[in-house]
Amino acid sequence: MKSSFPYPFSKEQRTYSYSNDAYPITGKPCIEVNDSYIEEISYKRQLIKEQPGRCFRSLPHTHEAQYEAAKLTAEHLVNVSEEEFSIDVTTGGFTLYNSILNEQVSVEEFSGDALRVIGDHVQEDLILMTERDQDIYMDAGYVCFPAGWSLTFNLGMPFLQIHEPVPGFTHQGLDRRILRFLRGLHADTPYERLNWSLSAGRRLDHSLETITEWKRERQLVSPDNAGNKVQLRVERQRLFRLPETQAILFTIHTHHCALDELDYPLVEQLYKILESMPRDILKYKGVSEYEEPLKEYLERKLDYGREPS
Amino acid sequence: MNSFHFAAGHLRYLLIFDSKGAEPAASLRNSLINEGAEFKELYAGSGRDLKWISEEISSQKNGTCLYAALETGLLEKLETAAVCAGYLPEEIQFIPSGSRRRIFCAHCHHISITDCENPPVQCSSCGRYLKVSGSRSGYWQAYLAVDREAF
Repeated sequence: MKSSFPYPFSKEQRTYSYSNDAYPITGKPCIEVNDSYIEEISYKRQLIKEQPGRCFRSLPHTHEAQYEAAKLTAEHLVNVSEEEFSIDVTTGGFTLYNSILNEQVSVEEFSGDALRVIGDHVQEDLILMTERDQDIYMDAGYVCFPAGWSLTFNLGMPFLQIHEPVPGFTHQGLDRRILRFLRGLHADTPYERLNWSLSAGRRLDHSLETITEWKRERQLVSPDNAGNKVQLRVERQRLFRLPETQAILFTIHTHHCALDELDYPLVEQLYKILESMPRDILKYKGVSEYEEPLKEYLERKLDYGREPS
Repeated sequence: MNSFHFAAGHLRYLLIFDSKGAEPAASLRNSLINEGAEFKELYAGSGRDLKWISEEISSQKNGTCLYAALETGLLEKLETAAVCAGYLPEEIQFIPSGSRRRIFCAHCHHISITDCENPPVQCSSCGRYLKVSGSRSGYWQAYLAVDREAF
């Protein structure tokens, strides 16, 4: 397992749980730059060129917040790597210099869809949420790698309604607690959480629009190929309240790790967590379609890795 | 999921429904009462046409939030009437009361109007056969529909 892979479980975790598991990340940036940067940026640009209406959407009232989010993201790129990124801030705009791509882009304050511009320079999916009517709405996004949902359909939808299809989301008022948490986010204290699932194949684009393409892979999982084919798919999700517009910038960086890369204690942990998962969650996460071959693969690996008594 | 999303914080609310829309209307009514919101409800039974409804919505004060559970065909016309009367998109929520639905094709994003009680449902743009979910967008005023091959 790569050291940069955000392994989603704490050492003690042995069962699946419903909870708001976000933790504060004061001082950390809203984005990461890793060794997949050029490959993923190139893929994002290809997707948005081919399917612009599914990868970028915004409502007109978000332009000011988009500019604030774009400027924050550009500043964080510089914080992450001053050697590769720099920024010139002028009255009414800024210019980002990207030496990895040998490009520079200028964004003006009232130019409109600034998220569309800055999204071309980060590996993350970027989402803007705004607050009204005591609720949080998803009002803009540059999203190429969603995990089974549609940016276009979810545009303008309130937070609670977006998550209605998630099994257990209303369990013990979890949905209301998370909404209250989001509404209480403060600009001084951004938060992070790791959202995990399993996927068949390393394809990043799991958009609802292309579900018939990537879902076929699930049928091809066997006990012999699961170690390489099945991936622990982890989204590093970060939440930043923007101080001026009070919108929320939600960034998602998707990582994959093949099950073969997990060593014995982690395989055992994953096995136990999967065993404890309710059926509706297994189905929602798409695991039930290849549950048997996956289980057989994990049991084989556990037998092999267990020390003789 | 065939229910209104109660948007708190508006000055007042107008609820219009027909006999088939009584269920979502009742659920919303409970929320309005629980919140102590100021609201008015209109039963659009037989003999109540678009003209009557349009006059009612036009006579409301600014800041009114409009909820309607009516037949799809009437809702299409009512949306135009509401926008002309000055309602903002976020002040309008509609739920179709019959089996005819606006459906949003997840693959080509086209919105078709179709009778969901008579499958197969087909996208009138890309031609895919779709399964209609219970997930509904107030922004698109439509239900999400996904290729049947995906299930």
